[in-house]
Amino acid sequence: MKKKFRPGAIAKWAVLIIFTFWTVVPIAIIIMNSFKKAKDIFTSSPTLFFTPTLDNYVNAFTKADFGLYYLNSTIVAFVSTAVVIIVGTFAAYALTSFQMKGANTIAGGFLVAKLVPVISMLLPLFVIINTIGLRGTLGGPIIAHIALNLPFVVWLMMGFLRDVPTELQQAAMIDGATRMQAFWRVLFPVVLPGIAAAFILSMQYSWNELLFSLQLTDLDTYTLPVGIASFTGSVSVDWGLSSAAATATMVPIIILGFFVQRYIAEGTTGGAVKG
Amino acid sequence: MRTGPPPSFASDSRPLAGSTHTNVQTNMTSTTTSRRAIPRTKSSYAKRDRRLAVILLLPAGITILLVMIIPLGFAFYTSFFNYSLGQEGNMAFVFLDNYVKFFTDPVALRSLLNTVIFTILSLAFCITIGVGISVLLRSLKPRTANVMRAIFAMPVLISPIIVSLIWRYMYDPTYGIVYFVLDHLGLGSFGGLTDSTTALFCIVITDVWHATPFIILVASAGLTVIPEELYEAARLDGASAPRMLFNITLPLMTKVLVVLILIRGTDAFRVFDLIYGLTGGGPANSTTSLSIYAYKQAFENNQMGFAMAASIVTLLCLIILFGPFLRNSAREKDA
Amino acid sequence: MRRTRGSVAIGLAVVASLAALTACSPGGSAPSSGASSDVTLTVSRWSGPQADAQQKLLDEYSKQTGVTVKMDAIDYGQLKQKQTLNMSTKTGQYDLVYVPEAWFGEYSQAGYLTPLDDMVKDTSLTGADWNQSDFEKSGLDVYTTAAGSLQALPYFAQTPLLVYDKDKLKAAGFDEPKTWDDVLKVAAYFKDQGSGIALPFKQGSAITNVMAALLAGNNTDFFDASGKLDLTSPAVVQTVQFMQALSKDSLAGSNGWHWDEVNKALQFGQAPIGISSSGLFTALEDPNQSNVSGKLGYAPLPYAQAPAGLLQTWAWAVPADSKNQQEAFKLAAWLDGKQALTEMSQADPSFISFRTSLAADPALAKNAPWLAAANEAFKNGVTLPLQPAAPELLDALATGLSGVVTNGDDPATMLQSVQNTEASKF
Repeated sequence: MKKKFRPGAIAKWAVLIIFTFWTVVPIAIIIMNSFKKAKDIFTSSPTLFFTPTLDNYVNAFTKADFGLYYLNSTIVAFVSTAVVIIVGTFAAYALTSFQMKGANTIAGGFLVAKLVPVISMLLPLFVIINTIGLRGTLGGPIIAHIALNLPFVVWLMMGFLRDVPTELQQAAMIDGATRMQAFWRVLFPVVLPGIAAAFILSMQYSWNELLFSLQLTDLDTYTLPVGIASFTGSVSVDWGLSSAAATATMVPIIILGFFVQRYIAEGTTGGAVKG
Repeated sequence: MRTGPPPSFASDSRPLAGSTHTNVQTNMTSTTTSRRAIPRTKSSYAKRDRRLAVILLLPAGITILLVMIIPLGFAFYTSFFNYSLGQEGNMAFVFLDNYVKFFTDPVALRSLLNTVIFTILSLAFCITIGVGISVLLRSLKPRTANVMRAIFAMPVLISPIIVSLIWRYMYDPTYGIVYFVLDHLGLGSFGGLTDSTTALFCIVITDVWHATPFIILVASAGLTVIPEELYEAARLDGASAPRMLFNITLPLMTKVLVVLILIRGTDAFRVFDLIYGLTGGGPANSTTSLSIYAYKQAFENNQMGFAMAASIVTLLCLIILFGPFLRNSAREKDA
Repeated sequence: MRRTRGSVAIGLAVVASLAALTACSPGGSAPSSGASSDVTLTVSRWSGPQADAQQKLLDEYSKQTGVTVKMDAIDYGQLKQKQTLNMSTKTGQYDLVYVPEAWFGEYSQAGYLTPLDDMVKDTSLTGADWNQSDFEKSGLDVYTTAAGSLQALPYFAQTPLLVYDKDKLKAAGFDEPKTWDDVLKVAAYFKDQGSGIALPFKQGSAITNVMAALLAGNNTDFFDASGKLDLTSPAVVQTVQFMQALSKDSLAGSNGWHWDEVNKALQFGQAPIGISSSGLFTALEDPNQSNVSGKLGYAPLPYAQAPAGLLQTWAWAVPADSKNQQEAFKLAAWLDGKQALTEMSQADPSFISFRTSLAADPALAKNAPWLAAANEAFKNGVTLPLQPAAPELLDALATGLSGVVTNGDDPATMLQSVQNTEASKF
């Protein structure tokens, strides 16, 4: 790396710093509000200095069963994400790497599914979930989240798999590897960044999804967003409680995202270090 | 039972990744002609292939059928009826009346227009900013880039309920930081969420804040398939940064970009949470989207049949708008 | 080894789906109370301070009777969906649902609710001191179907009121504002001072609620004497013109506010005067939450002819698909009994019941300085229109009013156009 003064570099860092502010300020406001008393939240000019209080956290955790919500959210998010990644990646593999008749039609079908307005799904899905006896269980939101994330994962992984040169697969197949071996040995490492991105994005969707997590479940199977929504209901918004609940909900997924997103740029990292 | 890739993978992938690079270059010109060239000598092999493909597709297919396609059929069916929830005994077949009603209702047409404007603006900002930031991140040292990307990813990890809540607070002329800043810049008369000319734009800004990280994450992953050697070669040729962007980065990212436009565009077209939380569709319907409109018809006015018709129209609009991208990416595959 | 990798992958998918299914097994926590009754009742209502106060009462009921009561308190915005999905699919999920008058017609027509006519006469269910004549008659009427069947017990009433900072108004030389002119003067004065009146003029239900109450105070209504929609009468146009005039002197941001934001502007002292809903007033007088506790005055909404108000109510109904209808009714009657209502109002002063014997209770009025104003508003109270097409009318009006106050649309033109599109539905 050359250490030379370059206006390009300054512009680059200026953009990145502005973007950091843009990203962080709203989040910082939520976190600050979670430590504020209501009187400090509703002031005519933003209060930077205030006496922090933990009351909001204590209240949020006593008023709602957040322990249960964490457990439920974790199960729903991990199970639905695991299933959607596995099922979606394999489906994408089948659609891209196998000489299949109608692959395009099927792929298009997945995308049309992505276009179905959520509002028209709610009632029929409620009836289906109720009929198969999963209403009020975690199965409802899990199935809904899998279906809602699948089109995205299938299409994303198809995009990545198509970019993998066929010669790579060929080489493995000539070695006598089966299809699945070829997938694990050759394709998987190359598409790992895509899988990491799909993982984070499916996970966050499931972690934060409210409609199905509220409508298909009951008291024992509510998840974190249901808890937050009970503080922000349109009758009256409890800002302190909802900010605390939001912060507590945000933290695990942000930490998880922090670790997983490392894999997103794995390819570049390898290249840059070696190159 | 083995639950992950074999440990030797990391080291395995290096030489392979190296060979990727040279191949991509040749592939670039002849696109994907060689893709179909996997040897299929024995027919039994092909049969096994087909069976495996079906097995791999089946779980995804069943889920989509159960959760999306059946409800879609239901929506399509009930859209031809005058139907209210709880009045299943009194369904009257009205054929296309609900659709006629939709296209003669100025509010419905307004919400269609709002939705299209919202989608185009949000998509344009998100993609431009998201891809731009990803390209900048790639030029950083990996460690720095990782930390910054983790920071940039945060908004997309936050629940939409909270996003709309915090932005409504920030946009509030009495308490919000937006007006605090604007006042200091002498722009305090900005209408914000309470002016029907600016409200939709304010919601676009919120959506851009929330959704750009989605683009950054996927585009960053997409950039990994572009070999560093290409840039080095271009740099040796004295190519400028914008030239490398337009001649190398974007062309090699088209497939990922198309996926991004499809996924992000369809999400934006169905926007609900943000609008519901920020304005509820006001002022004077200036931010009513198709989803908000359909929701009101279904659960406030209890006109399920009409709401389903509105949903089907939404679906058709999506197909018309995004169909070209879909065909485009399909054609690429067939080439 | 070669083939195993493939089957391992498929196996993985299967295991993951199995994990999904096992996770589906009911996460049922056994009924927590130690009492011996095996009845469990589930109550559906919105979350918030009132729900918190109610939880304590339900716990008390469980202790007394051994009946396990679960309160499913969710976001108000999702409540109707969840209730209707469950009742229309007959899941039997809920034993008691909290219903406002606006949903009641739809629910009773769809056959979601159990008639209570026989049960209210059975003292073994209601308790000996039930005394139905103690209830405000208008409340019972709202929850009686056209065929004369009572299908919900009226429980909670609220009304929009004018709230003002007594000291600030006095300092500016104003008495309690009563009429349209009074309020316009006060609002204009404070607008000049840099604030203004806080109004819930977001496009939504609050702005139509205010309109309905103002119409009543102008001796008019959405409908003419024969029940036909009549939005173009001079009295209605006048009322909307008043709303437009008032909004010109409103606090910045008011056009995007619902009740809750107005209430916060009052609570934290940004607004010297505003129109808020009595159901939210507890926070205004709580010294821990409010900057203005003890300083506020309350009055019925400003009027042109006579003070009037809007009666907004919630009631308990027993869904037809409940498996414990009698037990559920018993709980509803207990909650609506004098003792439990008194405790409820003590825990949450903004809670106003339908029992006339409690309306004048000085012990309750002490914590609720708005009670006198609320009672005056109720005395000449109207309800929102309740016809099946009413939601569409109110939605169209909310949109039109939003245009009137934000874009300066002409009130008469707006009303004429809503009249044109909606009249045929009534």
